[in-house]
Amino acid sequence: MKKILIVEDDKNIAKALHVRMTAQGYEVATTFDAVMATTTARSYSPDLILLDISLPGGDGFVLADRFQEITNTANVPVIFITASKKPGLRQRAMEAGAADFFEKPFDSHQLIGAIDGLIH
Amino acid sequence: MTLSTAQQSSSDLICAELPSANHVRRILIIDDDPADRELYKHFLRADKSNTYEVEQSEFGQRAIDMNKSGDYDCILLDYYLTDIDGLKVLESLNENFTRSVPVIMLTGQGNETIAVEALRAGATDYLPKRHVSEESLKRSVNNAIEKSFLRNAVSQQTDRLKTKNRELTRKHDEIQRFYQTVSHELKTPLTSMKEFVSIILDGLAGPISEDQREYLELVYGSCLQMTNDVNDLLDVTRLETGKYSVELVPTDLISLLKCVKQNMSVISKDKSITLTLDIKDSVPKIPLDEQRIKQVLSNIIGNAIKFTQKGGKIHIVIELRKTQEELVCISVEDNGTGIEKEKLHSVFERLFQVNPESGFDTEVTSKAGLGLGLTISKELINLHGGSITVDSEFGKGSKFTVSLPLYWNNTET
Repeated sequence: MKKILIVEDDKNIAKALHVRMTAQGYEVATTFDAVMATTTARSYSPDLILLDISLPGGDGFVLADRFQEITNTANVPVIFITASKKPGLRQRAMEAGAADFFEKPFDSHQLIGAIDGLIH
Repeated sequence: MTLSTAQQSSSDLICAELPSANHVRRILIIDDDPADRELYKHFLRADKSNTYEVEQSEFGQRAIDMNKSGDYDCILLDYYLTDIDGLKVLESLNENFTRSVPVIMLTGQGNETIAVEALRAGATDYLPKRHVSEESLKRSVNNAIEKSFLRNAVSQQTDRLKTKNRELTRKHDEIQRFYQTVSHELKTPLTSMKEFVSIILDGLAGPISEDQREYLELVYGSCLQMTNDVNDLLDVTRLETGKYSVELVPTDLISLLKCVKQNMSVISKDKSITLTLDIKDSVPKIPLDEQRIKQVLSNIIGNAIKFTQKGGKIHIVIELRKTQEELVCISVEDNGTGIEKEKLHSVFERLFQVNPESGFDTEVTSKAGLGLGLTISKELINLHGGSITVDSEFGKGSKFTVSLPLYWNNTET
């Protein structure tokens, strides 16, 4: 079973993603901040990471860099999710090596399509 | 910001003090010749229409020191002084005092160079010593005081306006930041609402009845509407503060348009509206912000669907046109409610909206959005160097045309 690591500080959205991904047949670990995400990444070895850009304790870009340094997550595709509409954010995410980029509120069917395309 | 504070601020601005007729004019005479000082004093006192209080000194430095304490209306300054020369005194007065006192420079006979220098250094007037008469002195002093009063009034006014302007800019920025925070904060609960509704609708929380499905679909629709509104709000604040930027990438406009048409046909089918696309020319790849152009086309086609009755028709045409420059034009024509002639010019204004049923209202009254869509679309197309135009006949339908330059050099922006 493919594994997804969710990094999302809003507990409700994290839960919705969890329900969605589990129903889609993925094994899911949910984390709510950068520290928790880093610790989990070390032990969990996910196949894909869903990463919120604005997080307590560090932004998603910094965290994505850290995932690159962790052996278990070094080459794992990262999908960025954000509620921000700052201009250039999508481009920045893509330049940071993102596998995809979604703005909140996202279309969950499109999101699943992207995930399935990457790791199914 | 309320109307009352705006009114108050404009009245704040009119408060420059007008000198009254019986105001005692305080004059400082700096001249190393005591006879000359007496003469000027005599001339001034001969003026029956004004009262003068005269102080005098033979030293230039005194002018600077005395001006610190005395609130003079005018200074008569001799160029040739025993301590420092008149121009130095002028410079020092200019540097050290915010409120400028008019200075009349008294120069030697025929020394035009000094006169010019004095005026450059900030003297209000100059009088050649030998020509000083009761009449010329009176006229020069009167003019100098009047001129200086006006100059001070203008500079005070300018300072007030600058302060007001800074204050308004700060408030404006604060409001913009507030909007951004609000929109951002709204999106998080909106996302979870929409997600859980969609989870239930997809049957992931167990079976639901037909009624439940119908109602949840309504909730879902409202979530989508709210998403659009929040995004529009953010876009408008960005566009207003000039913080909006487009990322131009060579794009295949025809496949983009096909994709938008495909998405919109889901909504048009619900109203049994026929949506057709006519590709008249092949279009080369042009630099576009794909997301933004999708947003604009969805907005225009969405409006057409909104304002067209069931069973109506919407026709989209994409073609090349050559005017002064080469353009690619996308027109969206419907046979819906149309827009009244007198309202046509304001469709791109903020908060303008036509009531989908009657076509009568110009204010936002229905649940059909914030009325920001076309304003945003227009700005976005402008950022691409293009334009949007509208043509409409009330009761017959509307035609919106987006024109984008084929070859656009955006270095000037």
